[in-house]
Amino acid sequence: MHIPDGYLSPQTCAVALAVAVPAIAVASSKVAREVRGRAIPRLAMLSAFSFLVMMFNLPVPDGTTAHAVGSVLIAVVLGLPAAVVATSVALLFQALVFGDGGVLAYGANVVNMALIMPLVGLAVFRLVAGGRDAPLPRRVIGAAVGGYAGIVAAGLAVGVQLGVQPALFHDAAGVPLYNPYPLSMTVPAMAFAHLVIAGPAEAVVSAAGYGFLARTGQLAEVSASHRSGMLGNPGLVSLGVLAVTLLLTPLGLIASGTAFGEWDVDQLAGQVGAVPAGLAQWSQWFTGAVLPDYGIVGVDPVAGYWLSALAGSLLVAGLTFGVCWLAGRLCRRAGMQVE
Amino acid sequence: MSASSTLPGWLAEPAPVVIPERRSHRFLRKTLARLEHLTLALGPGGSARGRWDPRVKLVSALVVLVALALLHDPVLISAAGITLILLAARHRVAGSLAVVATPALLMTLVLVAPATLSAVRPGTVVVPLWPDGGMTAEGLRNAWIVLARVLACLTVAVLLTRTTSWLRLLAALRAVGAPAGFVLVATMAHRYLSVLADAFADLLLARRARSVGGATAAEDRHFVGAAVGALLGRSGDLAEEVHQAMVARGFSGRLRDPAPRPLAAVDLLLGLGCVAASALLLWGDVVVR
Repeated sequence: MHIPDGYLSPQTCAVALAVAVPAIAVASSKVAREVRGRAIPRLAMLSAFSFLVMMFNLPVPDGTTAHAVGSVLIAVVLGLPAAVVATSVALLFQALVFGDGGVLAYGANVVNMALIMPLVGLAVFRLVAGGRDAPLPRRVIGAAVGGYAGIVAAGLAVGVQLGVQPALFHDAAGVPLYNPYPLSMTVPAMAFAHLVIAGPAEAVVSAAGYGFLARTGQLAEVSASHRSGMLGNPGLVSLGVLAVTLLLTPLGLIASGTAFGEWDVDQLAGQVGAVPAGLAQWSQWFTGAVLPDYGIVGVDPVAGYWLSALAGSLLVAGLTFGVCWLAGRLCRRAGMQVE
Repeated sequence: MSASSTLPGWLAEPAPVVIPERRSHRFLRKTLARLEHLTLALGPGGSARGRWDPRVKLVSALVVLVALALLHDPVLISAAGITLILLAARHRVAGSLAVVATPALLMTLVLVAPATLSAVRPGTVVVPLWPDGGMTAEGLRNAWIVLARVLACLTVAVLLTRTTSWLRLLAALRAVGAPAGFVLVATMAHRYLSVLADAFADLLLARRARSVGGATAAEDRHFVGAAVGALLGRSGDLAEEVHQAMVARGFSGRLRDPAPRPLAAVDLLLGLGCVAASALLLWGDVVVR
């Protein structure tokens, strides 16, 4: 899952870094606020833990071995900010010590394994495990499902990042300049590998690790300082949403044709030979779109698409931040645990 | 003979005992080997000090990496790669480069090999392998570009990390704008990584010593989960001990950056040389295209 240098274009790396850097900054300050002076040693040890977990080869059913990431376990036990910082530092070491994951591609690896993975894993854990008072078996199952979902989501993100390269970055003869495989190959390949091999490995590590901490009475102690969950981290959640929307943006450039049911009047007339009267009347009712057809008048269509996609992504991330922030405040005001 | 003295049925005809398949701990051996590699890499001999200022090295490395990523011509990427490998040999880090680059290149080769075939990516067949098909010129060109770029980028990373001490490299990260908290966490994580790695290795060795005949896959998975949990608990304990030691030494939670050393003229010249070489490569790439 670690993307080395050479597989992604510098443009892709720059976009990923633009999401990763604020995520690390927000997470660092959040943890520092939560645990005060204890933050530095705790994050350092968690980073070392994350690094070592990634070195741990786990036996999987087909006789081979796979390694887990452990970021979902950290997120479930200590919260999303701790998972973001710990996994980011571990990825930095991996890139520099073992050459596992690139230096330029560091931002992309952080987005996949330190942001999307714990975010998705924690959300699924909260969904499956319910509240803090849920019985232990249910929480253990929640950790397993969360770990599985988190690593599969991260694998799919890698598949999308690699798969858009040949369509977006190629020379005049059409020869890909970076990863050579299109989305139709990278997404199924990554999905298969993570659904069958890496997913079970992460599920085992998350569930057994969580279960061990609970059985030995360390869970309450370890997570004593951790108060906030998804709604307590509006900055990180909105950055995760921004990462996902930016990840999906290039798909619009690759897709051809119009989606079913989204034809304009002329396209529909060309297909069925006539335009229904009601559709002709109401299709022109609102014409004041700020960015019509995902473009900007007078700007190159591709550049316009990118700009409108960026504006849309920022808008969605901003709305997510607002909703999470408001929900967190309302929960606190009502005296509820922020989950 | 009384009825009580007859053998019960389950003892007279014992059911066959099913012994689960037990395998040797291949994953334990692999993990222990990687831990040993980690200990060597983190050891004091693992990073020779170079003469360049680490800030200049870091920025120059990033500039070169971006230039390598922007190059399109396979000949120019290969030339840059060869130059970097010669530089690595001159700084006596070719051995480290071989250790890091071999698995990465093998993985890349396996990944890009199918893309050279006309069945995967149609093009002009230059190496016929079956009727109407084989390796294409476009596929081979792409594979060469990716392989050369991966090798060149790895060489830059190895040159940067193996000729600079970790502490100086992390200080350079701070100097170029990385958040203070992030750099401090990375510095401390590096310092205690070997402590936690030793504890982890002890855990694995104890497991290996206590199960001579191997274990079933299910037992192994159970152990892995418990080991990860134990490691997480141990890291929490260690964090608490370190925090208490920091407070005892007077740590108040305030982070202070050491005053940066001024850059020497020779460092600036060397950095500018790297930037100029990168610009020259990019200009050559534009001309060739």
